[in-house]
Amino acid sequence: MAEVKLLGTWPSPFSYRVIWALKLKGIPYEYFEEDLSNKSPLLLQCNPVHKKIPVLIHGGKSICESIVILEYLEETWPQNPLMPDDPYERALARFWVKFVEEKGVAVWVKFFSSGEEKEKAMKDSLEMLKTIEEHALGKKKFFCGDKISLVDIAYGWMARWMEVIEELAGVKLFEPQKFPRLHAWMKDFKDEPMIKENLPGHDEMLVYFKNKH
Amino acid sequence: MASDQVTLLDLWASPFGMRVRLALAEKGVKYEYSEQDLVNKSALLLQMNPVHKKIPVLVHNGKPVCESLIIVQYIDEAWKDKAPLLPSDPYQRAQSRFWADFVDKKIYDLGRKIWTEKGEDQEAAKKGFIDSLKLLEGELGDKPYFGGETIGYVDIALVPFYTWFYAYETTGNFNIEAECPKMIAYCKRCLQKETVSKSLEDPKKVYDFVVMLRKKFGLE
Repeated sequence: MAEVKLLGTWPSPFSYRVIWALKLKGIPYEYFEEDLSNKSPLLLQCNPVHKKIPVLIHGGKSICESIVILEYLEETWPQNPLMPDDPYERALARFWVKFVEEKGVAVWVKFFSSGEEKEKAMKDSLEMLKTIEEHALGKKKFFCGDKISLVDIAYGWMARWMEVIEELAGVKLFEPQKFPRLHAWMKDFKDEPMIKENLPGHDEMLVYFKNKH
Repeated sequence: MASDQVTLLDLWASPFGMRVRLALAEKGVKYEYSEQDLVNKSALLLQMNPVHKKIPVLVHNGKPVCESLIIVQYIDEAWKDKAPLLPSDPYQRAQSRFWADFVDKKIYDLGRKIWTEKGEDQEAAKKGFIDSLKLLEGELGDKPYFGGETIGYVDIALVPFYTWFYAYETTGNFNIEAECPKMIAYCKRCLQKETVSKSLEDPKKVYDFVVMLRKKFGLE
């Protein structure tokens, strides 16, 4: 089996998505920490278009964009499936992944801005949380049913990054009593052994984001 | 699948809608086309896409699928016995997904800026747009289509935007063919296919639509 390499950065939630999928599927890999202020020749060679992490290198061939990588892992290593079989269920899964791609992490980072931009970011985030609470989870334990899927992995940043960003930016949007389903999901997601063992530390993240902003 | 009920909620000028029309045409799927009014959204649209309230929406036997590229993947999987839109090899599929994502991230947003912005912002959008098309030309290489010998996922993602090129050129005062002749040759090659020519709208009509929108937004 050709070797698998992952170029990532700590504590990028996009990097972690790939780590979680690799761990859940039991795929051995070698991790390379990138310095984004001094990008390696390997990164620039493997992702000339966007020059970003994560990049998966499998048997010398590179795959970029975290969600594209996740679908690639799913198709190449079908064990411990992360996607439903049924085409309609798959379309729904992809819909919710796209939703968090558009409304998620980028918005939360705007919490470090101020004034109108911050107000808008907070309003948009609240809308996003409400939509997920009302439409996405239903009565299921995870987004696609009883087992962790690609969708849960895409939303995984909420399980640790959201609380850190809220704490640092001095906002409190995610209130457990307002979002009971999402709150329960976050707990279940973090309790999954492969996830629990592979989460960045809260305190280390506080230090990291404090220094950045 | 003779008992299939397929409806497409769409807007004639939408390149996203054209993607779905093209995918359905490639698969030979019969469907009912339902033109939507996006100013006064129908109860059906709001019911079928409560999250985004946008088109296109594919309704297959009563169940809605939203977001154009997700719909195209769904069409590929639900009607898998004919004309595969994605390659079978996982690495090639990843490449297709990457480039379709690239089209989504760059072409629509930059194109929109060309016809809505002025001055420096418009110039920056034009440059970004041309740079993106050149990257796509590089990826196409010597192949007739991004899908190889036949039209595939990336072609479906990209070629509908060709119908908007004339509008971009006219509002932006530039010539895409002069900068990206390979891209234009590729688009014209695609249009020779009946599935493409019947799924794409007339660029002059699209331009009139853009003029109407510009007036509406107070840009003219």
